[in-house]
Amino acid sequence: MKALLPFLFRMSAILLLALVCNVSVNLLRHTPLPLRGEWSKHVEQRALQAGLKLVGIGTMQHAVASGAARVLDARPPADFRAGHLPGAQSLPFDAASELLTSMQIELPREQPIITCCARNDCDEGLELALFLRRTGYTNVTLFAGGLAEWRASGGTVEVER
Amino acid sequence: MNARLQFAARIFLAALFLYAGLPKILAPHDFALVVFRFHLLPDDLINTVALLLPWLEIFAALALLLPAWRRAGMLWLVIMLGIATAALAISLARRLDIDCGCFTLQPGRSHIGWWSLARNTALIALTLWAGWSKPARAP
Repeated sequence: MKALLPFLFRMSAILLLALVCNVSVNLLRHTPLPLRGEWSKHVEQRALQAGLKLVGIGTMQHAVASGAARVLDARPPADFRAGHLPGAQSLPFDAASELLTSMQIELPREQPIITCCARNDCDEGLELALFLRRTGYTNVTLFAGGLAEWRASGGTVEVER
Repeated sequence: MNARLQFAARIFLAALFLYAGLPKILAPHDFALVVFRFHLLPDDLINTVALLLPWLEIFAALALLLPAWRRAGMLWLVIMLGIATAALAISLARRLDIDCGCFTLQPGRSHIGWWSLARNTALIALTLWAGWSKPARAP
């Protein structure tokens, strides 16, 4: 008991120091991280709630290297031309219905598809994935990190000229 | 001999956890995303945990180097490693395709796997062994 009290004091002191530093350093940041984030509105949370499977950067790297899945970029065409994942195809979310029905893009229903957009705060990739699933595509997943996470992982980007 | 090995292990562990904690402090938004992707915490706790955890990691690592504070630091590290290992095991069982974010926040550099589970288990054992030794007393 005699030895326990100083031990508990030291445990609490470490926790207190960590608390004080985290609060003060966070307040000094240019963009502090709010203590309560709006994660329920995050695109990945919405995708999971909709029953959509998410793929991470590792799977994405494998898919790009092996061509195991069709990568569909849901951003506007101009953004796509400025830089996209290697081998990705442009299918802007707002024109997807038209492009698929007019057969300008051929996409077998059972083809493994990964949709994406710019980064994890855009939702065109999610909307495109949900649209494809509604229209009968059975193997659709979302790479929520998008081009930003691809770049951050050191992945190369293709630019259309 | 044993005491020297334990001392060397404590230096190694302190350096390792400082190395692990600093990127999380420098990029709290990225670390919060890593925590979120485990889908284990209520939304309201994600940012708080992402802010607190790296500082706790750093102070516990530093405590490991101070004889009187060694066991307190050890226990905090073992608690954090235990929770992280459980989170990894649950995520592997749920087949989540995510990064661990344990030692780097760079996407694709720390994909979770059985290796990360084995590494964490080994780190728990090493921390217990290195931190358990009695502080040296003056003659």
